[in-house]
Amino acid sequence: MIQKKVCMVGAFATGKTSLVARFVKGIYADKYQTTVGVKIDKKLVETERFTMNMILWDIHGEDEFQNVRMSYLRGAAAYLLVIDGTRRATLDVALNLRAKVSENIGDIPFVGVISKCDLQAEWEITEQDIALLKEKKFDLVRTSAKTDVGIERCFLQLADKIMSGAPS
Amino acid sequence: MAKAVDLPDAIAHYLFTRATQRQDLAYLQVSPDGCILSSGGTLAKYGLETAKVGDAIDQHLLFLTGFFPHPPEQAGMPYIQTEQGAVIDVHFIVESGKQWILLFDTANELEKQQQFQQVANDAALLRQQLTKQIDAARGSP
Repeated sequence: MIQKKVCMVGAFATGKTSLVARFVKGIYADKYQTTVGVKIDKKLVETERFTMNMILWDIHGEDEFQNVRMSYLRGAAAYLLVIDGTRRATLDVALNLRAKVSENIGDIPFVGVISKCDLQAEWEITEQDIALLKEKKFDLVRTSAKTDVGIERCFLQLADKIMSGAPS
Repeated sequence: MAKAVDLPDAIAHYLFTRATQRQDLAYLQVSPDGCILSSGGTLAKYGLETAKVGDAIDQHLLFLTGFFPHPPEQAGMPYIQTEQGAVIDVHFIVESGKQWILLFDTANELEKQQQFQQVANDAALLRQQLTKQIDAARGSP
């Protein structure tokens, strides 16, 4: 069976752990609990075309005290780049991280995730920001781990990219 | 790489014993394609008690999927929390052409680090929220 390493990358408190918890276990916790290091999980992704065992690396978020170590991304087949829709600063962090990954790991496939779409009224990420990202050829998925919107889709889209050998 | 400090034998021995006893060291020598060539230390601590010479290491340590056949020559990855609940610092080193993987148990350190990081991130989120509210009150975007 195909087995691939997939990483979650983004600023702190963007909802990376919630995304994985919803995708793998179908659960959601409202309380924010920061990740230190990496949490490993796995999920079997089955489609009509392939079956893939995703080994998920939920990497701690980038913050003022800790930068994401690029060594965590070694061997990754792809990654989700997570942006918190309610905090515009997380978009800048995501763009910086994307550049770091390209420089250190190479142009592996990724999908941009704009999380917390259940709080869309509070979003600081504007339609203009989204249009600019699309101009940069970002594939974007709006998600909510709380209401289970877009979760399956972003992981399946990533799996498709891996299987089709799509560049980032 | 930084030059190693030239330590008296007694100190080197003390530090070695302290590190290996406190953190349950296990080690594996692996081939370029990620098969186990030899192993030792507290293997059972990491679920490696059944690992045999010739086995692919990522069969036993799922999180090493993707690292081979191009493992890092030297890299440290702290606080890898496995599905089984272990917390491991993983180090890749190459010595005389041999690829080694070292595993250390860091569960105790994780707890302290988690507490510190939680306070720091909660404070940062609160600061961001307050800035947003002040900006809104001032009528700025």
